[in-house]
Amino acid sequence: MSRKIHLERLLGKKVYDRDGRKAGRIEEVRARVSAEGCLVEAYLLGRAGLIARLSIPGLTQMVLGFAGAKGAPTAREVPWHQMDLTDPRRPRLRCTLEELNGKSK
Amino acid sequence: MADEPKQQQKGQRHRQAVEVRVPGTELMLVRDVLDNRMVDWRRRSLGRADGLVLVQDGEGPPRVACLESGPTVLGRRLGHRFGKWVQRLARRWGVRRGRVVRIDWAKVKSVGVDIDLNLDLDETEAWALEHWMRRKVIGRIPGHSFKKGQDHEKEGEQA
Repeated sequence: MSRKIHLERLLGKKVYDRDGRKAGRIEEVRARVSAEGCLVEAYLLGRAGLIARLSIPGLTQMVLGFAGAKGAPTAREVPWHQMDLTDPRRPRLRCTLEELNGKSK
Repeated sequence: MADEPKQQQKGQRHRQAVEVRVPGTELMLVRDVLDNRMVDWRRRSLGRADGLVLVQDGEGPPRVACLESGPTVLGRRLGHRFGKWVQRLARRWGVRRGRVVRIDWAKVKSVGVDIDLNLDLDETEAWALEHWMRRKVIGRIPGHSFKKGQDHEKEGEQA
């Protein structure tokens, strides 16, 4: 069974982990071209994803700082198989935040 | 020779086009594709890529299926209620009756400042409004078909 996902509707959606804790908002999607087509590899969450998306790191960070963002930009890269998009309006992680951080390190 | 560094700087300011048919190419879908202008092989604009559809078959990773463009797609991005309102208006009064312009990912050649497509604009409904305007408004203006040199051709034919 195939499922349709509208990427533009996913943007900015809050993602929660298996325990219901907030992991960040979807800001960018990384894909790679292969023989089967253009396949999604990972979803980028958090402020770092937003900075990558706007591709003007210095200015974006400054604007976010003025808007009240504190500390270093959070970055989480969720591999496609760890993202549950059964309900695209409420995306969830298939793992906990600790498991995700352990994998990304 | 002195102009070379300046030209290089100019080139760096604009993002290099990325061929999307080459296996292994990495793409940031939001930064590189979404909201970029789509152009056909003659570099005529088809509008912006307002939406991007991913399809997930079974257990595999989601695959980019097509790009979408049109006011209804843009309206949906600005909110569910606003999107429905735009869709209703487009269905009632829109030239395309609310239909979205859908471009298959297989037609995308490269992405950069613009998204280069391997198709002709006339194969799509992207210029439906322009065609409607030409038929219903421009076509009714006297002398609308006048082109430079056309008069001389007609005179020649008559002679």
